[in-house]
Amino acid sequence: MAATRALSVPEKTEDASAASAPGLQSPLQRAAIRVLHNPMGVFGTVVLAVLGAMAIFAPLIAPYDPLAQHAGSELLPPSAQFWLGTDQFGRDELSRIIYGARVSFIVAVAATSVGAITGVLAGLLAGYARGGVDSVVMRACDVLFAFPAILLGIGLITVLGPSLYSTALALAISQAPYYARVMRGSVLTVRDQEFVVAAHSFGAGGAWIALRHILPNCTTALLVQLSLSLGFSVLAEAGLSFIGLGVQPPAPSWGNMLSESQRFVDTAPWLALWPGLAIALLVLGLNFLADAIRDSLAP
Amino acid sequence: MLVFAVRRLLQAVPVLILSSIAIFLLLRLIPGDLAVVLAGTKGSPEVIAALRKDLGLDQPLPVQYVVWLAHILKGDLGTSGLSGQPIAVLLFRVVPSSLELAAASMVLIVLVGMTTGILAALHPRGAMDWSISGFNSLVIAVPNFWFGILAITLFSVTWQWLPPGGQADFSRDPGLAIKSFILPAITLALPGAGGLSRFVKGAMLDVLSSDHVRTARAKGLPGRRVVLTHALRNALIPIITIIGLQFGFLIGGVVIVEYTFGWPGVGRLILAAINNRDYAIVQAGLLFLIVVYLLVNLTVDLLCGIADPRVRLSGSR
Repeated sequence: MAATRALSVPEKTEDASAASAPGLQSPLQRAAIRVLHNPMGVFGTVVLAVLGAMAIFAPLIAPYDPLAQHAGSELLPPSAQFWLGTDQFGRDELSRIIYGARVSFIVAVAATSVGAITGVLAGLLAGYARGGVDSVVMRACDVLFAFPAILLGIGLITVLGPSLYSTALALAISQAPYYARVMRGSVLTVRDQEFVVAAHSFGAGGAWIALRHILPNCTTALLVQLSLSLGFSVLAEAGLSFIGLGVQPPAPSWGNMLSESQRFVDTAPWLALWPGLAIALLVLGLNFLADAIRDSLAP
Repeated sequence: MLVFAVRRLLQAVPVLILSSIAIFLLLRLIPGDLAVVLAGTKGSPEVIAALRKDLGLDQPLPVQYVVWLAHILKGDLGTSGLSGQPIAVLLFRVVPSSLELAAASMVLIVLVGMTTGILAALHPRGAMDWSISGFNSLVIAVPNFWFGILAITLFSVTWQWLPPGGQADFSRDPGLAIKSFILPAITLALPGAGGLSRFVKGAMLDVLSSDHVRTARAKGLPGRRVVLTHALRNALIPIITIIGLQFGFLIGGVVIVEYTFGWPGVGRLILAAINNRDYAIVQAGLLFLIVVYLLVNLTVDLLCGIADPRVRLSGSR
């Protein structure tokens, strides 16, 4: 999401920077330009774009059906026919990695967007209303902070049963308090500034001020958190799937592929290589993007 | 200090109570009759009836919670639906393994994280800084269980230097026992060490550019003394806080690492219990891990209060 937006910006910049009037470029645009001048930002954007395209166009790219079992071709090393080799059922590893990207993206995007929206709204509410509402929201955050994400996942999945949805839900819940805290902090710093007071005096309501005046002032901070969250979700989903609580076989997810590969470390060690590389690449890209966005805030 | 400690303890109580309510509700949310679920496959109607009475399942939820909490405070964590053994016995048989693993990793995290962080801060933008930063980015992004699998493939299967999994008995074979720690402890420590190192570097860079460090250098104090007593000491408060946070990730990570290496700890107990639908064990295991986590955080906050008077004098949030 951040990647596509970032890519579309540079053309606009030349005349905007020439005019150099503040307000012609949104803070978001300025941040995007700086991100794309940073090698780490470029790396993150490219990784995200390539793996994202792989997830979206999986049926067009994948050479085989990820579930098709090629009898007689079990545990083959990489070859011209099966580029990354085959697993214990004779399924094509490359196709499973490509479809696995879908799982990672779906869980990460769903968990991050649900967690972010819930957290941002809760944080806006807490910072704006203060008093009792604030205490309730912040105590709820304290309790959620007491549950490390993996433990929260284990608890929820015990109740709901393992699936893509319970994984995404667990990760969304564990991320919401981070957003709530960031937002509440931002609201508390801007709520008494002149432009908010001015909006008040024009008769603007609380919700309007919160969404129209306060939220835009936190976009870059939120973007950093968003790309960190995506990376974190990818890792956590892989972890939960690895211990058998996330996405269930035969559906290919990078985590459950790693889990299955563990039984063949002595006969087919390459099976453990690809899913791990894919996870590491995606998370590294997202973390670099987060760093680049953060650097764009404080050059 | 006493006032600060008491205030911090009082703040911890509501979080502890709310967390215990969340874990209590976990079992109540599982579809089906809880007494039947808990009694397991061998549960006779009498056992089920006794469980129902014992847990107060015919009472409203708040009463059930109080009954549950009273049981736990007496050390009664229930019985396993599968084996019929008391869960407290099952749990405390595996707790030492997990704590030993976590402690070994914590030592590694602090040693590696602090050293590399300080080194990177002393030579910013040098070759050392670049390689340490690169290493940190990698260990934070690479799933540590993947590193675990690769390490098993290399050190246990191919070269056969280290055992591929399990914990060896120290009294029987001390050498093997120590060897069996190496891979799991490193695997568990990697992301935390990277995170801490990054943070230490940032904190040290901030302090190294401050006035009192410049004054210390101007007085002609030797570099090592400036770094260790003047800079590090002032950077220590945020660092202690981060070490406490790392422990939270460690507790989540311990479950996955125990699974990877077949380590006989709490995490593996919980995962096995989920597969056996032995929910009372899952509940007790999660409660244990979260109480440990909260206690560690409490200790960390108290340590910060001891180390820095500003922390204990600042008013409540």
